[in-house]
Amino acid sequence: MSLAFLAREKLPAWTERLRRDMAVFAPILKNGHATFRAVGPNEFLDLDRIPVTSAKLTVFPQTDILFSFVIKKNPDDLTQTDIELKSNLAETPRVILGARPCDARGLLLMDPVFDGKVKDPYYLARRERTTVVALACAQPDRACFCPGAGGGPYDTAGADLMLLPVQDGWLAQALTEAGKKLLYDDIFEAPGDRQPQAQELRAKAEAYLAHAPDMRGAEKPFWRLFHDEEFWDEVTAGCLRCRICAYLCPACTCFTISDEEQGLRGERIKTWDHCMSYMFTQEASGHNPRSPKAYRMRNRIGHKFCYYPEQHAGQVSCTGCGRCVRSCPAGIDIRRIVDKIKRKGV
Amino acid sequence: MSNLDRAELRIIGFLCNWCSYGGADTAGVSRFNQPTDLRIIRVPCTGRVAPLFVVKALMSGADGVLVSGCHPRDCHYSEGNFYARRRFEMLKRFLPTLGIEPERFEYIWVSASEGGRWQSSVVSFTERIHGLGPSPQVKLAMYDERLVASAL
Amino acid sequence: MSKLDLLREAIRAKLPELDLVLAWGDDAPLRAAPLFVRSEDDLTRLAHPALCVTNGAVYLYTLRSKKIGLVVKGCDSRSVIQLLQEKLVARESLYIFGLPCDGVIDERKIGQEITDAGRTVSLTIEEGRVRVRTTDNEHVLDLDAVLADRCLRCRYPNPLIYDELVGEAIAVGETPQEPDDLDAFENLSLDERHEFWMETMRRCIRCYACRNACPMCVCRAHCLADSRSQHWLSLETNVSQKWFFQVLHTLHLAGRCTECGECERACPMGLPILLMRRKMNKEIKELFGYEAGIDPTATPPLQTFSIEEDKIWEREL
Repeated sequence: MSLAFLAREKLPAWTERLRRDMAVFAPILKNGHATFRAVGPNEFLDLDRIPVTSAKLTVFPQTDILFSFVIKKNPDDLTQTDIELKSNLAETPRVILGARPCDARGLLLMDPVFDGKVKDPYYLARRERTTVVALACAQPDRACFCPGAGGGPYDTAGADLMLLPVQDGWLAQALTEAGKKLLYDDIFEAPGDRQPQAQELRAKAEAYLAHAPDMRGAEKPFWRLFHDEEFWDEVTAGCLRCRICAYLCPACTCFTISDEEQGLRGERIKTWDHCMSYMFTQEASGHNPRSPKAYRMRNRIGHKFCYYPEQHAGQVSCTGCGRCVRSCPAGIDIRRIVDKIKRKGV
Repeated sequence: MSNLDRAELRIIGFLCNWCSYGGADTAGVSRFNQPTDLRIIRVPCTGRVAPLFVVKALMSGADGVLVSGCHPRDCHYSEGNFYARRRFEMLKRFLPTLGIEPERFEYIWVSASEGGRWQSSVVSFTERIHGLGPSPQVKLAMYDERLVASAL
Repeated sequence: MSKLDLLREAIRAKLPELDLVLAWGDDAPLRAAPLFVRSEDDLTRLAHPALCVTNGAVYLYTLRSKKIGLVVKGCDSRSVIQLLQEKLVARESLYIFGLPCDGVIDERKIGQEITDAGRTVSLTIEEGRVRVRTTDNEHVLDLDAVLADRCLRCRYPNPLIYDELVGEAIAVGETPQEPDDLDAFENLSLDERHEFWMETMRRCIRCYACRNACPMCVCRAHCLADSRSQHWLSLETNVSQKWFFQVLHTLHLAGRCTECGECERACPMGLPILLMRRKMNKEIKELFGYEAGIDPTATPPLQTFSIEEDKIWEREL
């Protein structure tokens, strides 16, 4: 296991070096908020702030053009049309630079969905070409609860290279061959005696999260409360049915497919969808099995903490990143909901 | 259909069926010469034209939008253009906030007999749009392209 | 008795007659969440008034069949009045507790003042100051430095509609100046303004929290932005689509927006979208001399007309 050191002031150089060979997705700071984006030339990366958005757009973009089509008419016989299709599978290698352990775990939670019984070639084309440089969290905040979801602030699951914060930069720990390749000799140095410092920060972070509520094991209580309409009404009362929680969640995978046409040209696109929308289960007949917002919340919680764990050996479809908690405009806290389920569903 | 040749710009006209469309028809029948940049969309009344139509047209590639209806007090449906007048005045004043020249949008009142007035309005408006140049959509599309490059 | 105690007692007295009361309660220490008070036990969770940021009026339309109590600040009361103007809720189904307000804390501003705001353990409000205790530090901030921008220019600290007023009405001082952001924007050229919106919408994630947090947005599932049968917007995450939505929202709010600021507060990216709506309101004020949410018997200007318009003159081409 190779260990190296990246000085803080060398981060821009490393980023530019990476950008030569692949697309780099990292948190970019703008107006006090850090969000994951494809990095342009000389853009300022922010590895200190907890990013508002997750890194999932690297393998699961918000708009994914599956293919484009052009309808061609035969000029000699206009009733004859032909459709020219152009598939759009990703080819560019990419690296996520500064994925938090929750982001790396999110990818692992998405894999069974897109690479399980049915394979999504668009997802796989990106996933296979993605190297994950994870960044350990030395400063988790109030909304974080990753240990409760099976992770941790220094968890290495899903990472190719792990960055461990120290005062003057980061220690870099290669976990796979792909990660090792990124430790360029002219940018990285020997670790020196920085390991104790990194260890100390790790101990502090883990202590801070020692009381993270356990989000696992809610399956049976959930089923017991399934028909308790009053419970779900109360828990959903403040929800505004926006889509912040679904869009920011590293583990949320719902999508919709639509054709966007302009005359004789168009594209079939796959875009993020969200389960709190009224139209999520609206059927063509007009019937909607999840008409009340409470049913949709029940479905959301059920999916994350009951249905998914039942199919995946107890693993919840949640990384404990706290992004939903931080950004929900109505103060809905998923930790409180699961806690209530466990206490009431006995 | 791309408009690579900038000799003719694309101007959309929303004309009310009763007065202005009639006026445009009168202009046609009288063989008054007009530039062909303006493409007419017939609506029952200017009251039917939502300000959003204008913004959508400008965003989709129109270089200018002209709305024309019956004179206030002469609306075929009595009140439609009274509502329209308020909405369009609001829109004209709001366009600069978006960074769009308010001169790209105009609303006028032309009656069915005013063929000559229709012709001169079309000529003036077309000249005005030519003076302003290509549409805001061009700027929007450029921005989208910059994003697509990083979409991967 | 503190204002909080007075509020608690007022709600306690009326609770038996009402299905529920909408107030504010526990949440992250920097901001209170909407609290649906259904029993006396819930009253222990009421939050300090300076943390009561959200606008309860957004829930009124969905709850219109119930008899509910609602605690409103001055800005919230304007949303209620606007809903009454448009007959979207019935006055008889509401019992309004008016809470005079001298400003609420903007948690983003605290985040700008201190780097470890996310690790706040407790927040206490003292005379003109805010004491924020985080895991590793203790910070004392000026209350004025962390009050929401819209509070700094507030003209209606006392609710404009209520069934009972909780506490003393606040003496209204001289009209505050409009803060710089509107002036700064007005000094930009057309091209710069266009660029401003493009850069802003580039960061938008199209979550529609701005729309869903708006008390005036009652179309819900029928919103044009989500409609596929009328293809106003494509589902692509382009700047042009996101920009068009903001324009759509603002045009639909013309003459209806009460500047409660929830759209901007709800935005997870902190985008300055309230600016677009305030500019619209400015035009409405100049054209029709009208402000939304002041007079329950008024009609929004774009839902009516005058045969002669004072400020609209015919243009010659």
